[in-house]
Amino acid sequence: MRELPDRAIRDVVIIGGGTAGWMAAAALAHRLGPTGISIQLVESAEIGTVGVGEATLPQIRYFNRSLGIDEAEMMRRTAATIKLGIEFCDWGKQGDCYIHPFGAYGESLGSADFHHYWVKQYQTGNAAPFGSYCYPIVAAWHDRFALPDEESESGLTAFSYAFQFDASLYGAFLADFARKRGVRRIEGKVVSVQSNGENGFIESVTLESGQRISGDLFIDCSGFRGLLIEQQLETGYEDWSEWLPCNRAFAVPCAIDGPIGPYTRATAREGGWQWRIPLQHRIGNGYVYCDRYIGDQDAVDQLMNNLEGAALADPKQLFFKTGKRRLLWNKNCVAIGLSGGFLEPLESTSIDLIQSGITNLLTLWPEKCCAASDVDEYNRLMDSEFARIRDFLMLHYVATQRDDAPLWRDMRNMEWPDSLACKIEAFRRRGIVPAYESGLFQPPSWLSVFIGQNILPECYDPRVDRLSDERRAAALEQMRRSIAERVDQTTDHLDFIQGYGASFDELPMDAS
Amino acid sequence: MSSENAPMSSIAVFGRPCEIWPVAALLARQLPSRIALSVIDDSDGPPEPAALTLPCKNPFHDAIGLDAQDLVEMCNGTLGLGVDLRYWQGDGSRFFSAASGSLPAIDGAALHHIMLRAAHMYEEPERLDYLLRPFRFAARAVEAGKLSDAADDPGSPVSLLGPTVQCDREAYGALLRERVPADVVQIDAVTAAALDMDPESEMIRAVMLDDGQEIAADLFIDVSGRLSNLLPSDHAADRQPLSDILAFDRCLSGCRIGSAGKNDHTLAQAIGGGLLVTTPLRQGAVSELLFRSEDMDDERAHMLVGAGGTPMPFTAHFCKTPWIGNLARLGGASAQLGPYLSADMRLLHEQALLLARHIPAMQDMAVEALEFNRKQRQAARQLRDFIALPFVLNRRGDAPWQTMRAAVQPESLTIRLRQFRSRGRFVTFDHELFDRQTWIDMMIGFGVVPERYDPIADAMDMRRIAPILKRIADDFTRAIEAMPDRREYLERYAER
Repeated sequence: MRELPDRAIRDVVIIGGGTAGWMAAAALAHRLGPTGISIQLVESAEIGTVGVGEATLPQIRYFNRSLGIDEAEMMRRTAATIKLGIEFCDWGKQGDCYIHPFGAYGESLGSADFHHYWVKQYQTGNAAPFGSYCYPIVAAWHDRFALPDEESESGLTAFSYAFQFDASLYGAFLADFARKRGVRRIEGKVVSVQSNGENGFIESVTLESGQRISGDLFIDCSGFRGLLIEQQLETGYEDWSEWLPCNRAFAVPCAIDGPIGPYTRATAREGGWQWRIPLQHRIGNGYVYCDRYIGDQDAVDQLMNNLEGAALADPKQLFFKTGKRRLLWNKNCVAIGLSGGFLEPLESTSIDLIQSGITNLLTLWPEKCCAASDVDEYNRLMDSEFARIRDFLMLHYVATQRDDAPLWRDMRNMEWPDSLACKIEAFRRRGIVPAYESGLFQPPSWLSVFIGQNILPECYDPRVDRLSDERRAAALEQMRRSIAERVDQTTDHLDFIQGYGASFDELPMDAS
Repeated sequence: MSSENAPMSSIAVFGRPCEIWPVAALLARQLPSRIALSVIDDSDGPPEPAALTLPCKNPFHDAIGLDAQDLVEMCNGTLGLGVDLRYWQGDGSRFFSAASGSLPAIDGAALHHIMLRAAHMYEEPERLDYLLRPFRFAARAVEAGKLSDAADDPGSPVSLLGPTVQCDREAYGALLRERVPADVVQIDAVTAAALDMDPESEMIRAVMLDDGQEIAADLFIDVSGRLSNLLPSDHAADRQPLSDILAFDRCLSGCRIGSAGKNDHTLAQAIGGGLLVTTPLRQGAVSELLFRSEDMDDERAHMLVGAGGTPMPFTAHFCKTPWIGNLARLGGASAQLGPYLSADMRLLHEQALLLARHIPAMQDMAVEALEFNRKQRQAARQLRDFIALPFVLNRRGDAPWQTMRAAVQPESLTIRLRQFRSRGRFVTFDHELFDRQTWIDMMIGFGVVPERYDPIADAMDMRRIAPILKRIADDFTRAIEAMPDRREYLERYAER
């Protein structure tokens, strides 16, 4: 047999133990554990985690499933609620509200896509709201949830779902999972990094205790500071503040006071926007803002004045710069999580970007030399992912008719990236929706924001005219009614959680 | 209402019968009655003999309500399982290219990674292709003389098949013409003589025909290139050349009447100086030859295809922005990719489907044109990469094959090959037209051996895996034995 051990990665060192670090550790241990690889994770109890990434996208279910994680157990241990989408309030105009759902709108009535039929109906002045044709939106409106029927052939009621959970508890849950699969946790602070003088590869890190930890591959999950990727390797950062100017946030939990709803809410405010993420035992809240448009005190006041229950802690301030590292994989270091880049959590993409980083790393798992073909491909994939998410986030800011504050006027009037400007123009003129296979946000996502923020196509696909007005109106009404009836038969969200055996138990995790 | 904001009300399609009717049939089926369609056949003589080899499962045919049986019955058609590539890697070499479905992964590792590890165990990584042969279901079925539809049951190996239909191109055009309703204006045997252009907008107002007729429309579709040739501006810079990779400059075709001979499937034979594509039909066969004039003279070309016609010029390329103003160029007006895998027709199908999705709502059609062009580029690049693959991987020692092997490759193909060579990973891009396993089989079949395999495969206990692999191969053997013989299958098919 041909021996390859000298080329194979044997020692992986993960720096940082927040959500990113433990997600990476769990996935690597699960996938590569059988190869005999050693995985060590260095974290310090003295360094806090950001821990505000509480809302997820449906892709998190595939991640959990790939690890063989029991969903109900995960929900129980992380105080998770179900998420069917994100409700956006006051983004197009003050008073507007729409949900970006995890599911499609309607079913086509001919050759053209569904939304073209709705647009024509809307032009007659006799259309139900676009959201009425989307099952997860109607279910979210009524605080209902049941697991999707994966056997059903009806596209009308097909949907996906995600979770709102306590990210710190999710990290702890995965730490438990990873350690049971051989990941070694090392408590300590990194004080120095040793590199190979010839190729610049990181060889080891030294802790405050003097312990030196060597590795073949280093995964930097150290957060914004980018301990390895930036402080050691000086990779550089692409600053995207020009496109997404928010640079600060306050976060605070509050008590539950009323129905929680199976969805996250993002409400546009004077200098940014406020999130509301309901968990089983509290509501996570935060205000993301740009300090050029609102002062810190005003921001925190607006946040605290808009809590629906009593605050459960003092507000915590966060600082960030939107953008990404020039290379997310540099030499033998891969930056995952905040060390790789930051995009504001408007569409709950933080955990998804961690997941993408891990998935792509596993797909391109290198040898010790970290072949350029693997590094280049990883960076190509992640660059594309970041850029596509950036455009989608920007859409929320630029597709606004708000005129009450400078932030909104400036965003509307700024020069948009070509990649976004042409998407908006194509939809505005003719209802053409961006479609790509490798991106996170698919046509229903774009449709929800376009239509939710009042960008309605001037024209519809001419093929719609093959269907008579009467048949179109009747078919649309039939769809709307089918969805409403199905939602009526669906259990309440909290009843589902209870029935699923997913009610939060505050039992301490195995912290050994 | 300014004319720009006036609704779109008329479309005129110009072209040769083989290409014009697929486009017209799709538009006639999808356009609303308020948009008038005119179809103008501007061919200047009988079409050259040609044949098509197309997947039976075909979104274009679905859109116009055609199925493979229609093509078999009406277009001198027959069925197959793919295309037989011969001599691309030297004399005697052979590779059967077929849709391959998705081969089962074992414990999360793709079969080619496991087999690569097995090949490494014997320090013979180059045996990878050999080790994978038992798992090339379609190629084995062809070898055994069997044929079948793909099974609906995803657990059956027969679901891996992607049957193809081989048919006569002229008859295909005629069949599609029948699908165009009689109320569509159809004008035959004319030539576009001049364009009436709006000098400000540079939009075409009307096309003057040589018989004195004037065809006015909001959107003009050129499928032959004759309208494009009348444009005042030169759009040559818009061409994405492919002549380094498909380094041929002549095309000649011929038709053999009678028996199709001993081959059942379309043959793509690499020969000194050219590529000979022979498509057996239900009766007879069609040969199409691409060749380079400096390596092959016309006499030999005529001998190879058995015809005495004049070789036509061939310059492999596609247009990056085929839709300019109110003129959309499709098919031969926008690309020349040649007969291998019926690339020209497959691109036309993609273009027609895209055009239908982007029919302008108003006379200002800039947005539709922009989107069409962007997506058309994606489709053309996908097609280009897949047809280029065996050309850049060929291992022949003669001209022009050596030149093609050394040609600069498109970036997307370079990324795919680099990743596969390095670690056996198949890279996908938006709008893939060929399935993943077909690419992988072709790369390995043409001698690409990944340097590494998935670490998961490294951790596998090969003693445990060996019986699993044997079981899969045995399942394939049993499934092939249970399939009908090709002749028997075709007889039953004809009786449906």
